[in-house]
Amino acid sequence: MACLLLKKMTPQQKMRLFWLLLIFLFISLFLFLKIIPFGHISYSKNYDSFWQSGKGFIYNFTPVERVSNESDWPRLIGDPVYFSVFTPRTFTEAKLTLSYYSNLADKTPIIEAGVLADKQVWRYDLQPLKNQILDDLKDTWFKVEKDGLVLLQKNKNYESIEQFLTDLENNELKDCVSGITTCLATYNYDPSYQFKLDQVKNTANNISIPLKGNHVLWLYLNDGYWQFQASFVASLEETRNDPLKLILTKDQEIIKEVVLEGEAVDWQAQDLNELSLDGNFSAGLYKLEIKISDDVVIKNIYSSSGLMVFAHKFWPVSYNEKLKVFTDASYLQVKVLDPANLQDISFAGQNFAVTSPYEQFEFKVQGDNLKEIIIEKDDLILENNSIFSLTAEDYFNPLIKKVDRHFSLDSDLNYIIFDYKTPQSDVRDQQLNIASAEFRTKGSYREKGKYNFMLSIPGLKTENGEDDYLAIKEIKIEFTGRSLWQKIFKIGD
Amino acid sequence: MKTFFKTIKPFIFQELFYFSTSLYVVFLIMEIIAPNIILVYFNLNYLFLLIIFSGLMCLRDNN
Repeated sequence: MACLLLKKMTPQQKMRLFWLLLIFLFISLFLFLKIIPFGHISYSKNYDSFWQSGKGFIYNFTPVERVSNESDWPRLIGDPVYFSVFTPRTFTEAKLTLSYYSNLADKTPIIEAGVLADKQVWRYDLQPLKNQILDDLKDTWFKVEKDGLVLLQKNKNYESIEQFLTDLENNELKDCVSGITTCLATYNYDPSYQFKLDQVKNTANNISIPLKGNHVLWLYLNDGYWQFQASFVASLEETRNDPLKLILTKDQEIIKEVVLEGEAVDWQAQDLNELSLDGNFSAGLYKLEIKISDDVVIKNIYSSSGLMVFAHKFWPVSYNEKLKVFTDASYLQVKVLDPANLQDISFAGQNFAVTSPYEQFEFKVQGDNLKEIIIEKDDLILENNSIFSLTAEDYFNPLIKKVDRHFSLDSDLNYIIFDYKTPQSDVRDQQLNIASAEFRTKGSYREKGKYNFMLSIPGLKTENGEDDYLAIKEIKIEFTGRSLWQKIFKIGD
Repeated sequence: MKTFFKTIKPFIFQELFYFSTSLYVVFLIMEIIAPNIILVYFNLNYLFLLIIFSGLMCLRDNN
Protein backbone atom coordinates (compact mmCIF):
# COMPACT_ATOMS: atom_id res chain seq x y z
CA MET A 1 0.00 0.00 0.00
CA ALA A 2 2.76 2.40 1.08
CA CYS A 3 4.84 1.24 -1.86
CA LEU A 4 1.97 1.94 -4.24
CA LEU A 5 1.46 5.37 -2.73
CA LEU A 6 5.18 6.09 -3.09
CA LYS A 7 5.07 5.05 -6.75
CA LYS A 8 2.20 7.41 -7.46
CA MET A 9 4.07 10.37 -5.93
CA THR A 10 5.90 12.93 -8.07
CA PRO A 11 9.66 13.36 -7.40
CA GLN A 12 8.92 16.70 -5.69
CA GLN A 13 6.41 15.05 -3.37
CA LYS A 14 8.91 12.27 -2.62
CA MET A 15 11.51 14.83 -1.71
CA ARG A 16 9.13 16.66 0.62
CA LEU A 17 8.32 13.39 2.31
CA PHE A 18 12.03 12.84 2.78
CA TRP A 19 12.45 16.32 4.31
CA LEU A 20 9.54 15.71 6.64
CA LEU A 21 11.01 12.41 7.79
CA LEU A 22 14.35 14.12 8.30
CA ILE A 23 12.76 16.87 10.41
CA PHE A 24 10.92 14.23 12.44
CA LEU A 25 14.21 12.36 12.89
CA PHE A 26 15.94 15.52 14.14
CA ILE A 27 13.09 16.24 16.59
CA SER A 28 13.27 12.66 17.89
CA LEU A 29 17.07 12.82 18.23
CA PHE A 30 17.04 16.06 20.23
CA LEU A 31 14.15 14.86 22.40
CA PHE A 32 16.14 11.67 23.07
CA LEU A 33 19.15 13.77 24.06
CA LYS A 34 16.92 15.93 26.27
CA ILE A 35 15.25 13.06 28.10
CA ILE A 36 18.29 10.73 28.15
CA PRO A 37 16.03 7.68 28.66
CA PHE A 38 18.84 5.34 29.70
CA GLY A 39 19.94 7.73 32.47
CA HIS A 40 23.58 7.81 31.48
CA ILE A 41 25.43 10.38 29.36
CA SER A 42 28.89 11.79 29.02
CA TYR A 43 29.85 15.35 28.12
CA SER A 44 33.36 16.47 27.37
CA LYS A 45 35.34 19.49 26.37
CA ASN A 46 38.63 18.96 24.60
CA TYR A 47 40.69 22.12 24.51
CA ASP A 48 42.71 20.64 21.63
CA SER A 49 39.83 20.64 19.20
CA PHE A 50 39.51 23.75 17.09
CA TRP A 51 35.91 23.45 15.92
CA GLN A 52 32.78 23.21 18.00
CA SER A 53 29.38 22.64 16.42
CA GLY A 54 27.36 24.07 19.31
CA LYS A 55 27.75 25.97 22.57
CA GLY A 56 28.81 22.78 24.33
CA PHE A 57 27.89 21.64 27.81
CA ILE A 58 30.98 22.67 29.72
CA TYR A 59 31.37 26.41 30.08
CA ASN A 60 34.59 28.40 30.35
CA PHE A 61 36.60 28.84 33.53
CA THR A 62 35.94 31.85 35.76
CA PRO A 63 37.25 34.20 37.10
CA VAL A 64 39.24 34.97 33.96
CA GLU A 65 42.14 36.49 35.95
CA ARG A 66 42.97 33.04 37.28
CA VAL A 67 43.22 31.46 33.84
CA SER A 68 45.92 32.10 31.28
CA ASN A 69 45.03 31.45 27.65
CA GLU A 70 48.48 32.16 26.23
CA SER A 71 49.17 28.54 25.34
CA ASP A 72 47.19 25.83 23.50
CA TRP A 73 45.37 24.82 26.64
CA PRO A 74 43.91 27.00 29.41
CA ARG A 75 46.36 27.27 32.27
CA LEU A 76 44.99 27.58 35.79
CA ILE A 77 47.20 30.11 37.57
CA GLY A 78 45.04 30.97 40.58
CA ASP A 79 42.84 29.23 43.09
CA PRO A 80 40.00 28.36 42.86
CA VAL A 81 38.50 28.39 39.38
CA TYR A 82 34.89 27.63 38.61
CA PHE A 83 33.03 26.27 35.63
CA SER A 84 29.45 25.27 35.06
CA VAL A 85 28.04 22.31 33.21
CA PHE A 86 24.69 22.40 31.48
CA THR A 87 22.64 19.25 31.65
CA PRO A 88 19.24 18.89 30.00
CA ARG A 89 17.91 17.07 33.10
CA THR A 90 18.98 16.25 36.64
CA PHE A 91 21.31 13.39 37.56
CA THR A 92 22.19 11.67 40.80
CA GLU A 93 25.89 11.08 40.24
CA ALA A 94 28.71 12.60 38.24
CA LYS A 95 32.20 11.39 37.49
CA LEU A 96 34.64 14.08 36.46
CA THR A 97 37.77 13.07 34.56
CA LEU A 98 40.45 15.67 34.11
CA SER A 99 43.36 15.36 31.68
CA TYR A 100 46.06 17.83 32.59
CA TYR A 101 49.71 18.78 32.39
CA SER A 102 51.10 19.85 35.72
CA ASN A 103 53.71 22.50 36.27
CA LEU A 104 52.93 23.00 39.93
CA ALA A 105 55.48 23.74 42.63
CA ASP A 106 56.01 21.56 45.73
CA LYS A 107 54.06 24.03 47.87
CA THR A 108 50.88 23.21 45.93
CA PRO A 109 50.71 19.40 46.25
CA ILE A 110 46.94 19.09 46.12
CA ILE A 111 44.40 19.31 43.31
CA GLU A 112 40.73 18.94 44.17
CA ALA A 113 37.45 19.22 42.31
CA GLY A 114 34.06 20.00 43.76
CA VAL A 115 30.42 20.43 42.92
CA LEU A 116 28.39 23.20 44.55
CA ALA A 117 26.33 21.31 47.09
CA ASP A 118 24.86 24.18 49.10
CA LYS A 119 24.56 27.69 47.72
CA GLN A 120 23.47 29.30 50.98
CA VAL A 121 26.85 28.73 52.63
CA TRP A 122 28.71 28.37 49.31
CA ARG A 123 29.83 24.83 50.16
CA TYR A 124 31.45 22.64 47.54
CA ASP A 125 31.59 18.89 47.94
CA LEU A 126 35.33 18.54 47.30
CA GLN A 127 36.90 15.33 46.05
CA PRO A 128 40.60 14.68 45.49
CA LEU A 129 42.23 14.57 42.09
CA LYS A 130 45.85 14.65 43.18
CA ASN A 131 47.69 14.57 46.50
CA GLN A 132 51.45 14.56 46.02
CA ILE A 133 52.12 14.13 49.77
CA LEU A 134 50.23 10.84 49.83
CA ASP A 135 51.74 9.72 46.53
CA ASP A 136 55.21 10.19 48.02
CA LEU A 137 54.36 8.46 51.30
CA LYS A 138 52.77 5.51 49.50
CA ASP A 139 56.20 4.39 48.37
CA THR A 140 57.87 4.57 51.77
CA TRP A 141 55.23 3.53 54.33
CA PHE A 142 53.51 0.15 54.72
CA LYS A 143 50.33 0.07 52.69
CA VAL A 144 47.08 -1.83 53.26
CA GLU A 145 44.25 -1.27 50.79
CA LYS A 146 40.61 -2.29 50.57
CA ASP A 147 37.75 -1.00 48.37
CA GLY A 148 39.62 2.19 47.55
CA LEU A 149 40.39 2.92 51.21
CA VAL A 150 44.13 2.99 51.92
CA LEU A 151 45.93 2.75 55.25
CA LEU A 152 49.56 3.83 55.44
CA GLN A 153 51.55 2.78 58.50
CA LYS A 154 54.95 3.94 59.62
CA ASN A 155 55.45 0.56 61.33
CA LYS A 156 53.57 -2.51 60.21
CA ASN A 157 51.06 -2.90 63.06
CA TYR A 158 47.95 -3.87 61.10
CA GLU A 159 47.35 -6.49 58.45
CA SER A 160 43.85 -5.32 57.56
CA ILE A 161 41.89 -2.07 57.47
CA GLU A 162 38.95 -3.64 59.35
CA GLN A 163 41.23 -4.46 62.29
CA PHE A 164 42.57 -0.91 62.26
CA LEU A 165 39.10 0.66 62.13
CA THR A 166 37.86 -1.53 64.99
CA ASP A 167 40.81 -0.49 67.14
CA LEU A 168 40.25 3.14 66.17
CA GLU A 169 36.59 3.02 67.18
CA ASN A 170 37.55 1.52 70.54
CA ASN A 171 40.36 4.04 71.07
CA GLU A 172 42.91 1.22 71.19
CA LEU A 173 45.24 2.00 68.31
CA LYS A 174 48.63 0.34 68.58
CA ASP A 175 51.63 2.69 68.81
CA CYS A 176 49.38 5.61 69.65
CA VAL A 177 50.28 6.87 73.10
CA SER A 178 49.92 10.56 72.30
CA GLY A 179 46.25 10.26 71.29
CA ILE A 180 44.38 9.64 68.07
CA THR A 181 44.34 13.27 66.95
CA THR A 182 48.14 13.34 66.85
CA CYS A 183 49.05 9.81 65.70
CA LEU A 184 46.51 9.59 62.88
CA ALA A 185 45.95 11.74 59.80
CA THR A 186 43.20 11.40 57.23
CA TYR A 187 42.36 12.57 53.78
CA ASN A 188 38.94 12.45 52.15
CA TYR A 189 37.75 10.03 54.81
CA ASP A 190 36.10 10.58 58.19
CA PRO A 191 36.61 7.57 60.43
CA SER A 192 34.36 7.15 63.43
CA TYR A 193 36.18 7.33 66.74
CA GLN A 194 35.40 8.20 70.33
CA PHE A 195 36.73 11.55 71.43
CA LYS A 196 36.84 11.81 75.20
CA LEU A 197 37.64 14.62 77.60
CA ASP A 198 38.24 13.97 81.28
CA GLN A 199 36.73 17.06 82.80
CA VAL A 200 34.02 19.21 81.35
CA LYS A 201 32.72 22.31 83.07
CA ASN A 202 29.09 22.56 84.03
CA THR A 203 28.75 26.31 83.83
CA ALA A 204 26.95 28.23 81.10
CA ASN A 205 28.71 29.70 78.08
CA ASN A 206 27.53 32.99 76.65
CA ILE A 207 29.24 34.46 73.59
CA SER A 208 28.11 38.00 72.90
CA ILE A 209 30.65 38.70 70.17
CA PRO A 210 28.63 39.11 66.96
CA LEU A 211 29.69 36.58 64.32
CA LYS A 212 28.94 36.89 60.65
CA GLY A 213 27.80 34.05 58.40
CA ASN A 214 27.88 30.32 58.74
CA HIS A 215 29.80 28.90 61.73
CA VAL A 216 30.47 25.35 62.83
CA LEU A 217 30.84 24.60 66.53
CA TRP A 218 32.20 21.56 68.27
CA LEU A 219 30.57 20.97 71.63
CA TYR A 220 31.56 18.64 74.38
CA LEU A 221 28.55 18.03 76.58
CA ASN A 222 27.91 16.39 79.91
CA ASP A 223 25.18 13.86 80.53
CA GLY A 224 21.78 15.46 81.07
CA TYR A 225 19.75 18.46 80.04
CA TRP A 226 21.38 20.94 77.68
CA GLN A 227 20.07 24.09 76.09
CA PHE A 228 21.44 26.11 73.21
CA GLN A 229 20.24 29.45 71.89
CA ALA A 230 21.36 31.68 69.06
CA SER A 231 19.92 35.04 68.07
CA PHE A 232 20.31 36.65 64.68
CA VAL A 233 20.22 40.08 63.07
CA ALA A 234 20.54 41.12 59.44
CA SER A 235 23.77 42.82 58.43
CA LEU A 236 22.25 44.42 55.34
CA GLU A 237 18.95 46.17 54.82
CA GLU A 238 18.12 43.86 51.95
CA THR A 239 18.93 40.48 53.39
CA ARG A 240 18.02 37.46 51.33
CA ASN A 241 15.21 35.39 52.71
CA ASP A 242 17.36 32.33 53.31
CA PRO A 243 16.37 30.03 56.15
CA LEU A 244 18.21 30.03 59.49
CA LYS A 245 19.21 26.54 60.59
CA LEU A 246 20.76 24.78 63.55
CA ILE A 247 21.96 21.28 62.68
CA LEU A 248 23.21 19.11 65.54
CA THR A 249 25.15 15.96 64.62
CA LYS A 250 26.81 13.22 66.61
CA ASP A 251 29.03 10.58 65.00
CA GLN A 252 28.20 12.02 61.56
CA GLU A 253 24.45 11.56 62.03
CA ILE A 254 21.98 14.41 62.33
CA ILE A 255 20.21 14.11 65.66
CA LYS A 256 18.37 17.43 65.75
CA GLU A 257 17.60 20.16 63.26
CA VAL A 258 15.84 23.45 63.91
CA VAL A 259 14.84 25.66 61.01
CA LEU A 260 13.39 29.13 60.79
CA GLU A 261 12.17 29.39 57.20
CA GLY A 262 13.11 32.46 55.19
CA GLU A 263 9.52 33.68 54.96
CA ALA A 264 9.13 33.47 58.74
CA VAL A 265 12.18 35.64 59.42
CA ASP A 266 11.25 39.23 60.16
CA TRP A 267 14.37 41.38 60.02
CA GLN A 268 12.42 44.59 60.59
CA ALA A 269 11.01 43.45 63.94
CA GLN A 270 12.47 44.82 67.14
CA ASP A 271 12.77 41.34 68.63
CA LEU A 272 15.72 39.29 67.58
CA ASN A 273 15.12 36.22 65.47
CA GLU A 274 16.01 33.31 67.70
CA LEU A 275 16.64 29.61 67.32
CA SER A 276 17.00 27.23 70.20
CA LEU A 277 17.76 23.60 70.83
CA ASP A 278 17.31 21.69 74.04
CA GLY A 279 16.87 18.22 75.42
CA ASN A 280 18.61 15.48 77.31
CA PHE A 281 21.87 14.45 75.75
CA SER A 282 24.45 11.81 76.55
CA ALA A 283 27.99 12.96 77.31
CA GLY A 284 30.27 13.30 74.34
CA LEU A 285 31.25 15.24 71.29
CA TYR A 286 28.66 17.01 69.14
CA LYS A 287 28.93 19.12 66.04
CA LEU A 288 26.58 22.05 65.63
CA GLU A 289 26.30 23.93 62.39
CA ILE A 290 24.75 27.37 62.46
CA LYS A 291 23.75 27.52 58.84
CA ILE A 292 23.06 31.06 57.73
CA SER A 293 24.04 33.19 54.76
CA ASP A 294 26.83 35.78 54.96
CA ASP A 295 24.19 38.54 55.19
CA VAL A 296 23.18 37.38 58.65
CA VAL A 297 24.96 38.04 61.95
CA ILE A 298 24.79 35.76 64.97
CA LYS A 299 24.24 38.33 67.70
CA ASN A 300 24.49 36.01 70.65
CA ILE A 301 25.23 32.35 71.41
CA TYR A 302 24.24 30.67 74.64
CA SER A 303 25.05 27.14 75.79
CA SER A 304 23.81 25.99 79.18
CA SER A 305 26.84 23.81 79.88
CA GLY A 306 29.86 22.03 78.37
CA LEU A 307 32.65 23.28 76.15
CA MET A 308 32.22 25.10 72.88
CA VAL A 309 34.81 25.84 70.17
CA PHE A 310 34.63 26.98 66.54
CA ALA A 311 35.83 24.85 63.64
CA HIS A 312 37.87 26.23 60.72
CA LYS A 313 36.31 29.71 60.55
CA PHE A 314 35.73 32.61 62.91
CA TRP A 315 34.31 35.89 61.63
CA PRO A 316 33.76 38.46 64.39
CA VAL A 317 31.95 41.63 63.37
CA SER A 318 30.86 44.92 65.00
CA TYR A 319 32.36 44.07 68.39
CA ASN A 320 34.48 47.21 68.34
CA GLU A 321 36.87 45.99 70.98
CA LYS A 322 40.24 44.31 71.01
CA LEU A 323 39.69 40.58 70.69
CA LYS A 324 41.70 37.51 71.70
CA VAL A 325 41.22 34.20 69.95
CA PHE A 326 43.12 30.93 70.41
CA THR A 327 44.11 28.25 67.93
CA ASP A 328 46.68 25.44 67.71
CA ALA A 329 47.25 25.54 63.94
CA SER A 330 50.62 26.69 62.67
CA TYR A 331 49.06 28.95 60.06
CA LEU A 332 46.30 31.49 59.86
CA GLN A 333 44.43 32.79 56.84
CA VAL A 334 43.04 36.28 57.20
CA LYS A 335 40.76 38.21 54.90
CA VAL A 336 39.44 41.73 55.39
CA LEU A 337 36.57 43.03 53.30
CA ASP A 338 36.42 46.64 54.48
CA PRO A 339 39.59 48.77 53.93
CA ALA A 340 38.83 50.50 57.25
CA ASN A 341 39.67 47.25 59.04
CA LEU A 342 43.15 46.74 57.57
CA GLN A 343 45.48 46.23 60.49
CA ASP A 344 48.42 44.43 62.03
CA ILE A 345 47.37 41.30 63.84
CA SER A 346 49.34 39.42 66.43
CA PHE A 347 49.62 35.66 65.93
CA ALA A 348 51.67 33.63 68.41
CA GLY A 349 53.44 36.79 69.53
CA GLN A 350 54.45 37.81 66.00
CA ASN A 351 52.95 40.78 64.16
CA PHE A 352 51.56 40.30 60.67
CA ALA A 353 50.16 43.02 58.42
CA VAL A 354 46.89 42.73 56.55
CA THR A 355 47.51 45.36 53.91
CA SER A 356 44.77 45.05 51.31
CA PRO A 357 41.06 44.20 51.29
CA TYR A 358 39.59 41.11 49.58
CA GLU A 359 43.00 39.41 49.56
CA GLN A 360 43.56 36.30 51.63
CA PHE A 361 46.73 36.62 53.68
CA GLU A 362 48.44 33.58 55.08
CA PHE A 363 50.61 33.81 58.17
CA LYS A 364 52.80 30.95 59.36
CA VAL A 365 54.46 30.26 62.69
CA GLN A 366 56.14 27.23 64.22
CA GLY A 367 54.72 24.55 66.50
CA ASP A 368 51.46 22.81 67.34
CA ASN A 369 51.02 24.46 70.74
CA LEU A 370 48.14 26.79 71.59
CA LYS A 371 48.64 30.22 70.06
CA GLU A 372 47.05 33.55 70.78
CA ILE A 373 45.61 35.75 68.05
CA ILE A 374 45.03 39.40 68.94
CA ILE A 375 42.97 41.55 66.63
CA GLU A 376 42.48 45.26 67.14
CA LYS A 377 39.56 45.73 64.74
CA ASP A 378 36.98 43.11 63.89
CA ASP A 379 35.08 42.27 60.70
CA LEU A 380 37.81 40.02 59.41
CA ILE A 381 37.63 36.37 58.48
CA LEU A 382 40.01 34.06 60.33
CA GLU A 383 40.42 30.61 58.84
CA ASN A 384 42.61 27.53 59.24
CA ASN A 385 42.24 23.75 59.34
CA SER A 386 41.87 23.66 63.11
CA ILE A 387 39.85 25.13 65.97
CA PHE A 388 39.23 28.66 67.26
CA SER A 389 38.33 29.32 70.85
CA LEU A 390 37.71 32.48 72.84
CA THR A 391 39.47 31.20 75.93
CA ALA A 392 42.55 29.06 76.40
CA GLU A 393 40.86 27.12 79.25
CA ASP A 394 37.96 25.97 77.09
CA TYR A 395 40.15 24.99 74.17
CA PHE A 396 39.90 21.44 72.87
CA ASN A 397 40.60 20.03 69.43
CA PRO A 398 38.62 16.96 68.39
CA LEU A 399 39.75 17.13 64.76
CA ILE A 400 41.96 14.46 63.28
CA LYS A 401 44.81 15.92 61.22
CA LYS A 402 44.17 16.32 57.52
CA VAL A 403 46.79 15.69 54.86
CA ASP A 404 46.41 19.11 53.32
CA ARG A 405 49.08 21.43 51.98
CA HIS A 406 50.01 22.51 55.53
CA PHE A 407 50.57 18.94 56.59
CA SER A 408 53.90 18.16 58.24
CA LEU A 409 55.14 14.71 59.09
CA ASP A 410 55.44 14.80 62.88
CA SER A 411 57.29 12.12 64.78
CA ASP A 412 54.06 11.13 66.61
CA LEU A 413 52.21 10.41 63.38
CA ASN A 414 52.02 6.67 62.71
CA TYR A 415 48.98 6.19 60.51
CA ILE A 416 47.34 7.85 57.54
CA ILE A 417 44.00 6.65 56.23
CA PHE A 418 42.55 8.00 53.02
CA ASP A 419 40.18 7.47 50.15
CA TYR A 420 42.05 8.65 47.09
CA LYS A 421 43.40 7.22 43.84
CA THR A 422 46.65 8.41 42.30
CA PRO A 423 46.18 9.91 38.81
CA GLN A 424 47.25 7.75 35.89
CA SER A 425 49.69 8.81 33.18
CA ASP A 426 48.50 8.63 29.61
CA VAL A 427 49.95 5.63 27.73
CA ARG A 428 51.05 7.72 24.73
CA ASP A 429 52.03 10.87 26.60
CA GLN A 430 53.68 10.27 29.98
CA GLN A 431 53.45 13.96 30.89
CA LEU A 432 49.69 13.92 30.59
CA ASN A 433 47.93 12.98 33.83
CA ILE A 434 44.40 11.66 34.03
CA ALA A 435 42.60 12.01 37.34
CA SER A 436 38.98 11.40 38.20
CA ALA A 437 36.59 12.17 41.04
CA GLU A 438 33.04 11.09 41.73
CA PHE A 439 30.29 13.27 43.15
CA ARG A 440 26.78 12.84 44.37
CA THR A 441 24.79 15.44 42.45
CA LYS A 442 21.40 14.59 43.89
CA GLY A 443 20.35 17.72 45.77
CA SER A 444 23.32 19.69 44.46
CA TYR A 445 22.64 23.28 43.57
CA ARG A 446 21.49 23.70 39.98
CA GLU A 447 20.63 27.02 38.38
CA LYS A 448 19.28 27.45 34.84
CA GLY A 449 20.01 23.80 34.16
CA LYS A 450 23.64 24.10 35.19
CA TYR A 451 25.67 22.37 37.88
CA ASN A 452 28.52 24.44 39.28
CA PHE A 453 31.93 22.85 39.55
CA MET A 454 35.16 24.06 41.06
CA LEU A 455 38.80 23.14 40.52
CA SER A 456 40.93 23.96 43.51
CA ILE A 457 44.70 24.01 43.84
CA PRO A 458 45.13 25.37 47.37
CA GLY A 459 48.02 27.80 47.59
CA LEU A 460 48.19 28.60 43.87
CA LYS A 461 48.29 32.37 43.61
CA THR A 462 48.09 34.52 40.52
CA GLU A 463 49.98 37.39 42.10
CA ASN A 464 53.08 35.48 43.29
CA GLY A 465 54.77 35.94 39.88
CA GLU A 466 55.91 32.30 39.65
CA ASP A 467 55.43 30.20 36.55
CA ASP A 468 53.41 27.45 38.19
CA TYR A 469 50.21 26.34 36.52
CA LEU A 470 47.96 23.45 35.66
CA ALA A 471 47.22 23.13 31.93
CA ILE A 472 43.87 21.51 31.22
CA LYS A 473 43.68 19.39 28.08
CA GLU A 474 40.30 17.82 28.53
CA ILE A 475 37.37 17.74 30.93
CA LYS A 476 34.96 14.85 30.72
CA ILE A 477 31.92 14.44 32.94
CA GLU A 478 29.86 11.27 33.01
CA PHE A 479 26.43 11.76 34.52
CA THR A 480 24.28 8.95 35.86
CA GLY A 481 20.68 9.25 36.91
CA ARG A 482 17.34 7.55 36.79
CA SER A 483 16.32 5.97 33.53
CA LEU A 484 12.98 6.83 31.97
CA TRP A 485 11.50 3.52 33.10
CA GLN A 486 12.73 4.07 36.67
CA LYS A 487 11.15 7.50 36.60
CA ILE A 488 7.84 6.21 35.23
CA PHE A 489 7.64 3.30 37.66
CA LYS A 490 9.25 5.33 40.50
CA ILE A 491 12.11 2.91 41.08
CA GLY A 492 15.40 3.97 42.68
CA ASP A 493 16.30 7.42 44.01
CA MET B 1 17.78 7.20 -9.31
CA LYS B 2 19.48 9.14 -12.09
CA THR B 3 16.15 10.26 -13.49
CA PHE B 4 15.01 11.19 -10.00
CA PHE B 5 17.93 13.54 -9.54
CA LYS B 6 17.49 14.88 -13.04
CA THR B 7 13.85 15.68 -12.31
CA ILE B 8 14.47 17.38 -8.98
CA LYS B 9 17.53 19.35 -10.10
CA PRO B 10 15.58 22.44 -11.24
CA PHE B 11 13.89 22.87 -7.87
CA ILE B 12 16.53 21.42 -5.50
CA PHE B 13 17.44 24.85 -4.01
CA GLN B 14 13.80 25.75 -3.60
CA GLU B 15 13.20 22.47 -1.74
CA LEU B 16 16.36 22.95 0.30
CA PHE B 17 15.18 26.45 1.19
CA TYR B 18 11.79 25.13 2.34
CA PHE B 19 13.42 22.34 4.30
CA SER B 20 16.04 24.49 6.06
CA THR B 21 13.48 27.20 6.89
CA SER B 22 11.05 24.65 8.33
CA LEU B 23 13.84 23.01 10.31
CA TYR B 24 14.96 26.41 11.60
CA VAL B 25 11.43 27.23 12.77
CA VAL B 26 11.06 23.81 14.42
CA PHE B 27 14.42 24.18 16.19
CA LEU B 28 13.53 27.72 17.27
CA ILE B 29 10.24 26.53 18.79
CA MET B 30 12.06 23.69 20.56
CA GLU B 31 14.61 26.18 21.93
CA ILE B 32 11.83 28.41 23.24
CA ILE B 33 10.11 25.47 24.94
CA ALA B 34 13.30 23.91 26.35
CA PRO B 35 16.26 26.33 26.33
CA ASN B 36 19.59 24.91 25.17
CA ILE B 37 18.04 21.70 23.82
CA ILE B 38 19.53 22.42 20.38
CA LEU B 39 22.12 25.15 20.94
CA VAL B 40 24.44 23.01 23.07
CA TYR B 41 24.81 20.57 20.18
CA PHE B 42 24.31 22.74 17.15
CA ASN B 43 24.71 26.40 16.35
CA LEU B 44 21.57 27.57 14.53
CA ASN B 45 23.61 30.13 12.61
CA TYR B 46 24.92 27.32 10.42
CA LEU B 47 21.34 26.51 9.47
CA PHE B 48 20.65 30.17 8.91
CA LEU B 49 23.59 30.29 6.48
CA LEU B 50 22.04 27.37 4.62
CA ILE B 51 18.73 29.29 4.43
CA ILE B 52 20.51 32.35 3.00
CA PHE B 53 22.51 30.29 0.54
CA SER B 54 19.57 28.20 -0.73
CA GLY B 55 17.38 31.32 -0.84
CA LEU B 56 19.90 33.20 -2.99
CA MET B 57 20.39 30.23 -5.29
CA CYS B 58 16.64 29.93 -5.59
CA LEU B 59 16.39 33.60 -6.63
CA ARG B 60 19.15 33.11 -9.17
CA ASP B 61 17.37 30.08 -10.65
CA ASN B 62 14.08 31.96 -10.87
CA ASN B 63 15.73 34.77 -12.79
